[in-house]
Amino acid sequence: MRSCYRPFKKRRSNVLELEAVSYRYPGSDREALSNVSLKFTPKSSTAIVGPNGAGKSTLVRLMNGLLRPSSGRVLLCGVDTAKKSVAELARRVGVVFQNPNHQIFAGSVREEVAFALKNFGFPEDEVGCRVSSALERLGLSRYADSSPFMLSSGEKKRLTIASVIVYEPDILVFDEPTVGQDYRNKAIIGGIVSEFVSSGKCVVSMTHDIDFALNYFERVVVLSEGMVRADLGVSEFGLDGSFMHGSRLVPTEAMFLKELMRIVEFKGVYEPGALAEHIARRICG
Amino acid sequence: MSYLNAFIYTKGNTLLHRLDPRSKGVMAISAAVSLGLLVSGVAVYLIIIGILLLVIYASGLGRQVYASIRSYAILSVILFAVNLWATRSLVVSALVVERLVLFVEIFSVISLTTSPEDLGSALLKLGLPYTFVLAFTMSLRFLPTVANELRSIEDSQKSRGLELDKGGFVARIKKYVPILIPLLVNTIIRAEQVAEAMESKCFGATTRPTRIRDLKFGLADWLTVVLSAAALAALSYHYALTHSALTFL
Repeated sequence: MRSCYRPFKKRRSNVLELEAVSYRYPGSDREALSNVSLKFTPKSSTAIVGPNGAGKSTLVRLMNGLLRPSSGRVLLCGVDTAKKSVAELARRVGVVFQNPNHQIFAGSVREEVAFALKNFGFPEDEVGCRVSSALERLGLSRYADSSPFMLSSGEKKRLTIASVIVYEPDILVFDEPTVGQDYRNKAIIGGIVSEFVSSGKCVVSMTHDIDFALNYFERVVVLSEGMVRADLGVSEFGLDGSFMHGSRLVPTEAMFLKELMRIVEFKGVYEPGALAEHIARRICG
Repeated sequence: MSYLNAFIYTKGNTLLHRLDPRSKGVMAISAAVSLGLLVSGVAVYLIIIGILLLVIYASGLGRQVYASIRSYAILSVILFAVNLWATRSLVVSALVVERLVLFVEIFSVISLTTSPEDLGSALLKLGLPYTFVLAFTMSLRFLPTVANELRSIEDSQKSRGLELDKGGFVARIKKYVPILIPLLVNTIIRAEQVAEAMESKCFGATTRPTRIRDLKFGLADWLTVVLSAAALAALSYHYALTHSALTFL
């Protein structure tokens, strides 16, 4: 398995590219994703935001070959993923799924983290070294020999991240990483995103947590009803609520403020509660 | 393991969906007894299979029935091979497999066209204890949830390089450990959560709680019962005739 791994030749070439990708689940009468085109480069971080049912989880599964597009192509370093197995793609595209309980099975935290390394055929001495390093990075070293089922929700989440970053994929994809996480854990996950990007990797995160997207990512893609509604820099996104229309997401304070100023300009009179609701409806649709 | 979907209730408005579960039960038992005990001639066998295929086609379940047959195809092949080794007869081995398929499919058609709530109501009407019926219907109700969970777990482990379709027979079975452990743990956790939720909603306060929707035994149900009974009687008569003729010979 390791022989298929080659580091990137060009630093800014597209590491992952979706070309007019559409996907329809068997038996469904509507497309989960429709004509989605996106490019991801190394040393970049992208947050894909959208409400429930926008197609975010489908996009994750298309990125590592768990699903194959109904039409269009997914290119990994220029190679069509349709020709690769999930295991081959997983070596380069690491996915951290939303629910840690859907992954944890091993008798100890150490074994859980070593699982992917063993599947990818890493030598025994390297496995031990990498596992210790990943546990250190995620602050889980003291639990190395404990049962993973005994960990708290936040620790389990960090464990699932450790079990993916341990084999250093070129692209790290998170599916809703902040769901059920407190502020401290969100900050830890955000720190991992920044660290991964500064080491030259590409990070993509599906989220409906706008604050998390604004704090830790440099690019935001708005996905709604299976289509890309906006693709822009994080500063542009944070200020302009018009990109949020139809997304049913929580607007940022800056978006609120901008809309509030517009209302004040038109001398509208509202009760405070009604005003907040009015602004949210105007921004998010 | 997405083949679990092949046995899960699918909403529909076909005649089979609308029938009372009790009349469907009579039809299924009649078909099972006929195929298992009474049918001997190839022609009668083919007629019954033809009727069953028609029922499956009319209820729009062709795809699910095909998927469910696929799900136990390996078991069918093993059964065929064992029978062939034991009896040295292709015909006998094929008949054993055919009966397995027909038995499973007759009852899978009921589970595919009957909602767990209706099935529960029917079992209560037949006099079974409420707690038993509730446990049975809840196990059916949670099948889609378990199927979805299974898919997520599979995706999660495949994304960490697990290749389920590689290696020998024993190696492949071992590869299911990382899938079955999370599934089992999550199922136990969910059972605990459901039990707590039920207790917090006064489960057990009464032995015969009222039901929102009651079953009605209509004309179509009576027709189904009469036709099933008539077919069973006719086949029993045919069996008795051929059986006595053979004894006489």
